[in-house]
Amino acid sequence: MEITWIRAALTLLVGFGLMMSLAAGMSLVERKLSAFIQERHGPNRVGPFGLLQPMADLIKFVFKEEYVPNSVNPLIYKLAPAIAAVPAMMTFAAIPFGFLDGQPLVIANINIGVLYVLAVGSLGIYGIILGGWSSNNKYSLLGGLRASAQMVSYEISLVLSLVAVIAVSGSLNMSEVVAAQDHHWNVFLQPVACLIFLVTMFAETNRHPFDFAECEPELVGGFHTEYAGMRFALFFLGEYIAMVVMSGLMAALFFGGCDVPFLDIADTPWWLGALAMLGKTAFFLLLFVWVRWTLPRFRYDQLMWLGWRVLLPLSLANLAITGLVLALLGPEGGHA
Amino acid sequence: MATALFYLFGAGALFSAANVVFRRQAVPAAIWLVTCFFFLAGEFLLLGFPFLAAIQIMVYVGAIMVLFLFVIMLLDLQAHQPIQSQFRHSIGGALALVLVALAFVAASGGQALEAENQPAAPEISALVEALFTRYLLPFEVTSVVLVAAIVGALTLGRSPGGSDHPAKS
Amino acid sequence: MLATYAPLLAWLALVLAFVVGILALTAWIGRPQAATGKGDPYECGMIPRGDARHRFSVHYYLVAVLFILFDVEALFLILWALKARSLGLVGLVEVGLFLAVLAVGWLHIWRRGGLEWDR
Repeated sequence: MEITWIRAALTLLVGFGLMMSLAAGMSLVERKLSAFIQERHGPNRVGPFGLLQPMADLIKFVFKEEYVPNSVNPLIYKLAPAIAAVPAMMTFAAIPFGFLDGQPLVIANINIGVLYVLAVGSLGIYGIILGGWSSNNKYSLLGGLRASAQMVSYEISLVLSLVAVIAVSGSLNMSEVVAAQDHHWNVFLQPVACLIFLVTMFAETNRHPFDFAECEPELVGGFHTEYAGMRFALFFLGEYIAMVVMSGLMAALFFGGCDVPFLDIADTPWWLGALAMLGKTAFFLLLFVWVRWTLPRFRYDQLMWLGWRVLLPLSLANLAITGLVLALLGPEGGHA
Repeated sequence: MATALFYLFGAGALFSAANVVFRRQAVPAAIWLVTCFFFLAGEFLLLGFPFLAAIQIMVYVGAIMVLFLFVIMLLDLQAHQPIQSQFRHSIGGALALVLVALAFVAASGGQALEAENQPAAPEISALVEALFTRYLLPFEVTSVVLVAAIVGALTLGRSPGGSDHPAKS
Repeated sequence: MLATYAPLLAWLALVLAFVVGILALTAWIGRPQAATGKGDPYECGMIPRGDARHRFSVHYYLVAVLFILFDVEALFLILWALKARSLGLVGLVEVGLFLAVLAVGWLHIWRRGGLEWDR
């Protein structure tokens, strides 16, 4: 059954709304959950229980003054927030939310979806480098450099952990990877890859315990020290959407995506599948906040040590073992 | 539609490439090179090879241009220090351009390259088969080249004082 | 080809429209107001000295080069992973050889201290 253009357009619009609500919701949930962990109230003035806080933030950001500091590179300084936000938003298009009428429920069903996410996701670094460099602030430059070196170091382990998933599933299409996980999620087949992905997911989004991009005690605000108003908000939007995408990838590639335990994907109603996917994504989003208030920040040399000397060999060893098992099973080996 | 897009992307790539050459400042030139790579990725996509397009973005834009930006910052090429060009450099550039054009003509065997004349792009599986059978030797040699690059980078990264410690800022 | 990527193109248009739109809106509403000292770099109240764009440690260059090398390696591995089952042991040996050479390079970096950030 072909996808009608009406369905494609609806998926597009609903997907955009979903992405924005997830990012906005996350900004509220992070503050609320942080407050809960620290025994505070958190935002509770705007709307019931502070539920309208993201709206209030948005209005405030729009009305903020749009200033450009002295001696920055004006064009690059103005472009950097957009360069940071757009790749994150583009990767969201490849996250699958289940199946409807036998067709994948996804904004863009790309045949090389995993590779697309890796390729476009690797562009997020530009916003940080250019933002830090153009700001003409020592903290910004150092923050941007540190953050980009960190992202680059962990990206290889991220890619290698996904290579193991590709080897098990034999496909680059996200929806096919999800369909292949019916009844046996990749987290059980690839626990080490899942662990590596979990660690690199925090490093790639510059979140605790790897938040060297904005390490407050040393670097003030890091690469966005000189940014304010909506440009600053775009950096944050990009970071939050990157978190949503990473959680979605984790849910889809390791935790069966729309697969509900003990149900066949084919028998699951589409709304239940989409809810399952959303629930799994939400869990990992909450994990980001939970970890933030649980683990202390790394030291920078420890970060590099972990990335190059622990995660890289570990992911290569995992891949070698995966390859050996797959080769022994042979082409007809079925799924593990 | 596809043909129109093909020419549009081609023009975009040429325009960006010209900007790379004629910009006096290093960072904007690097950004134009990124734009050029994006247009090229678009061309690959139009020719029916999304895998190559993704690799173009992942390796060239996501990795190599990041290194370029690092090096530009490393060398501290600032906005108020535009690149100085000399006449003899231009001669060298023109010579290189002619050589590359000659090599391109030789490689294409004198035939005009047209988007429509290309055979259907092979599947990724065919690419994999070819890589691990027919092109196995080049594939294995690639790893040696990569290691040579590692050694080179390490040597460059050492401080000129001869100590084994890379220079600190 | 176009039909497959049309939704992606539409999504790109939507995303760009959002980003450009919201930046234009804030530029229109929040016009800058002149004030002295506001444009100075923020350095915790100290008066900034000199230019911010200093030379920095060559370590970052090393990290970027290493990243490219292992990125290329990962791409070859993706190609192998797609057909890991049917390539079988022969494919594994071929990839293993490739990886072994790179592992030697990686060990070389380790021994020469290229991975040590705190020296």
